[in-house]
Amino acid sequence: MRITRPQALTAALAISTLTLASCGAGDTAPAEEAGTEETGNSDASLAVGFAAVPANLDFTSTGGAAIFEALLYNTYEGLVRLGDDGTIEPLLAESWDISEDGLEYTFDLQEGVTFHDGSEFTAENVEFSLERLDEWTANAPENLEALESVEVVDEHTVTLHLSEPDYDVLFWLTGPEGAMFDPDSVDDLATEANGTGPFVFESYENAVEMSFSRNADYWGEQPDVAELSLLYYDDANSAANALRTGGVDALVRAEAYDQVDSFEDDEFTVQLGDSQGVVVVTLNSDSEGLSEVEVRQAISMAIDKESVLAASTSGYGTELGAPSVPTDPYYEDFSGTYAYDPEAAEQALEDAGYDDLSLTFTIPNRPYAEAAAQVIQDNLSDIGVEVTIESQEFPAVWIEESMTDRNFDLTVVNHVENRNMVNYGNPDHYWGYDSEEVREHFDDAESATDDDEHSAAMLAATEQIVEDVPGIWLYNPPNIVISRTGVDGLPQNDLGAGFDFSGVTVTE
Amino acid sequence: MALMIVRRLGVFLLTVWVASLVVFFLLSVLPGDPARAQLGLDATEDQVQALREQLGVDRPLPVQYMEWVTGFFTGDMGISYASRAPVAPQVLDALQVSLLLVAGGILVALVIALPLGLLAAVRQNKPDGTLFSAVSQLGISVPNFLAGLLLIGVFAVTLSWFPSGGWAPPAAGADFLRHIALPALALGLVNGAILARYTRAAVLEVMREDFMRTARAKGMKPGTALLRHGLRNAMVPLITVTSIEFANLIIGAVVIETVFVVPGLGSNLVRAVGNRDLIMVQSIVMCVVVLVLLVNLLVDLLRPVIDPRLRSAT
Amino acid sequence: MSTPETASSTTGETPQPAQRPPRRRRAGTGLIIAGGTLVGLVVLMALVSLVWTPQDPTATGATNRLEGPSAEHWLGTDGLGRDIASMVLAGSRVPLLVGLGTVCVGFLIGVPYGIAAALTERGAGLWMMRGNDIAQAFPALLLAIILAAVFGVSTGTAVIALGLGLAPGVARVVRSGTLQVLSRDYALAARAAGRGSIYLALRHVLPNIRGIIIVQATVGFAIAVLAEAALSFLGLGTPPPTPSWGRMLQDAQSVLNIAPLTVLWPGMAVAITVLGFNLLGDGLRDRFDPRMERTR
Repeated sequence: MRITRPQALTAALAISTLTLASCGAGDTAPAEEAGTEETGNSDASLAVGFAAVPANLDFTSTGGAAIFEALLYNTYEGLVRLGDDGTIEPLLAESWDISEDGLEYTFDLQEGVTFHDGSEFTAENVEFSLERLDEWTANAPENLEALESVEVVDEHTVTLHLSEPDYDVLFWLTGPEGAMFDPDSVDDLATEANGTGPFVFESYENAVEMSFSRNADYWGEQPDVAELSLLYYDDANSAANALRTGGVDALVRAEAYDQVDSFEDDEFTVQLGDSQGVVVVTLNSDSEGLSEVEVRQAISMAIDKESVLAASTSGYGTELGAPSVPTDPYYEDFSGTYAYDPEAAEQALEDAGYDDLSLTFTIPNRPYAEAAAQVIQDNLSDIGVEVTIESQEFPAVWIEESMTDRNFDLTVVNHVENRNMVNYGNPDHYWGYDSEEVREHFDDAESATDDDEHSAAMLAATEQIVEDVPGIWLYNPPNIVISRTGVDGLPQNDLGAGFDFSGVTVTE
Repeated sequence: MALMIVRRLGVFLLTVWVASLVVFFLLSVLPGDPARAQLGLDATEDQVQALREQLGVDRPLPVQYMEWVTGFFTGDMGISYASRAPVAPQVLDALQVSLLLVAGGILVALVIALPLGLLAAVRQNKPDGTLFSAVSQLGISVPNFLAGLLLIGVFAVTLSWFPSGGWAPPAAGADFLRHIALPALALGLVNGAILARYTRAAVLEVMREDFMRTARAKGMKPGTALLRHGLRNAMVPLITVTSIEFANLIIGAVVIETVFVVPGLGSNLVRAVGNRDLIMVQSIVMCVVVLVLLVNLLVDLLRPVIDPRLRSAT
Repeated sequence: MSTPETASSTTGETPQPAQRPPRRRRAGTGLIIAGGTLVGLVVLMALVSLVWTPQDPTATGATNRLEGPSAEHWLGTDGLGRDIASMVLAGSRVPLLVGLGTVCVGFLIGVPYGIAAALTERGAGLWMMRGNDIAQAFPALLLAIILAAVFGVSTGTAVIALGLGLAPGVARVVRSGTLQVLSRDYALAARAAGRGSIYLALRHVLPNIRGIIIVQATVGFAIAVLAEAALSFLGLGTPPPTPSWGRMLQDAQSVLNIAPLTVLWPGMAVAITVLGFNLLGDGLRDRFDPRMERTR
């Protein structure tokens, strides 16, 4: 087995959008993928196993990452993309320019780009797609709320006008919000996908298989594989078995953590990549006892994150102490703050006058959450806190009961959205955290004009959040990619955008 | 005879109608908002309300019932809340998979049960007969998903003879057989053990019947008598049991479907429940219920054809 | 789920050979002893686990995950570092409770319904059985999935769903047993004497179908144990962290390829329990079979 551990992404991500622009980064050619010398002439097919099942194909109205991580970069494309190392790269925009005041982004578009149905991609599509964000009901269109209007300069030039400078506009444009649509195709987004990407969507058999074929008319370099199919497995073990028995060529975000070692042989390659996920236990500050910050700190100190990590992911991943992940440019390791110290925890709880606390812990019925919750329950019983676990079906029941009705004392979930920390600035979020100071830090970050300023503001916000303990950030899960030998060029990292399979080569 | 068939059909239709009422109103109390479940973590209350209206889940229940029930029987089951695609093709696909899987399971079960049960009955008080009984007794005690897990471990992961899961349609020929083999075996082994016990009981019962005694008294060997007269009579209870097993298997296969990643009715139902895809849940449940009632009807109609005793009685 | 108990009503109970030499020992004793021993063992495990387990069955540990058997952990540890021996012991409670609960629910509904259907005037009684047919078209597992969705995942929900699933089969068997009793002379005489239905049911029917009821209960118990395991395996049965064999099997599934023993222990526990109840049921059937009374 070869384990290729990608370099920490922090440095790469720190190359900011503004720096890129001022260096004239728009001139950079589209990213070359490794091993695509003989592109477009293989008749190989690639089957990849996934865990999260897309309910349909419309990520503009259906939540969850499953849909766009399959379609984005493969079928749909945006103006810019996130490279596997986390840098922002040109895609449908050849280059771009940002005005001095940070309010105008002008993009030069690729020419000769067509949608899969044959219609041409022009500046009109950019205008249509970005203005349609108003109609989105899922996947955080408000990330681009600073976007005021889209101006079609000419057929291949477009200018975005912002109402206020927003540091992260280009970053959000790399995600689902930046996907380009054809106006004639938006009526059946849930069942069809018409994009400009390297793979043409063929069919989706609900919860079983999504099939694609190579786009023979692709404007860029054609993908090496002729056929791509994404297969969905509800449980990690079935997925691992499928890989072992040749049912799939690779697993992305493999979750059969205990079996990773057993793929240590010549037949398979294991890569440990990064993800954006934050597995967080939220403490409901409206609950008795939990309204006291001392109690929340005591609970944080009672939890043995090493055990949680061992139980949930067999130890893969990074223990966290704050709501940022190692790939965030503003990441700093807070895992030493209010860290595991059961005696101090018990003392703190006693000092606060809560020595017979009993709490309800609602959890999504997913293996990682069940494993983590049982360890936490055991940990908390050691300091005399009685925890009752209530397992709720995910997504429907958990979202309704825990997230919408906030009917919990403790709850846990893996937030896979990019940079979801900003939700601590939203008092209406189910986290129920409201700190004027934190909101000010977030505002500073948004209006920042360079990396240092942005990171400093985000870090200041992080420090305050960590001190208030609205939640206990357990760990950042890894993105484990296991492939059979002969399959190369798979994306290593889960960047919270699409998994790009156009650079994958298959031999044998 | 014809009158009986008409009467049975009438009762069947009435039963189906009552069942449709039960299914619809039982499921309309399902907690969890389908609109909220779909929109995910970030949606506003206005967006959720708009989707509720779009899905039609804000209308009075009787209106929704009429639309659903007429749709169901005209093949238009509506649009799935989750996949936004028509429900009918999805349910029919899953139904086809389930029927094939269950048929495969019953076939395996019969292949095991008939000889095993027959031998256990004929050699009742001899060591091998007892051994057959013990084997079937043990077989019933093993959860079928455990059998499935073990089959995967041995025949897929270790020996690589069969795929560990997934499905191929019958049109795929050999690939279909490779995919259905292990799940059908897992279903069939345990149910074969159950059927074997009933076969044994049915055969023993037949052996006690007067006509068998007469046949033997006339000098026929027990084996010959059994084959000539007995099996036909033993078939009646067996067909009834198989039909009841069918009802249990069609949804009981859900665990096997989960283990083998087979997209049948059961796994679709569990997923639809998780998504609060109410219209899908209703359609699948209704489909199962109609199917079970239909099989019962068929058995009722067939029984006099097979059983000479019943025929003379009517 | 398999429901042999519903089937037995139509096939008749496991019959005895026609010319059976008179024996001193009563029929089915061997099976009753074998089954009773296994069931007794499981009940004993459950009782012992109430006061003592080798380790705390919910105590987790990061450092001792998936260990093999040792002096400290007799059967090794699971994926959360919990002691499997303790979990198998404590895990016996849930299946037994589910079995008991299911049988209670199933019989509290099924027995009165079946007797009532038999006692009721022909037409209405037949309609009651039509209703029963409809109920029977909802397999237990289907009900369990739906009820888990309506009322949330819990052991109680599973018990009610499985009990409701069991009831129609019980009602069917009880009805046919009652009809047999009603055709006997003493019942006819009681009816002729103008005795009411309730008197008839309590005085004549129940005592005479108690054999059927006990046999059905035993088999129902076995089915409930299997169904609970299946539901927990699907994540619709016993929620964590309550130890339950079904849950243990589900947890063990992900490590089957690297730690097969974690599947073996709960799997064996389920199999032994089900075997015990089935043997007991067979033995009791041999003893109580009404046909045997006739043949003797």
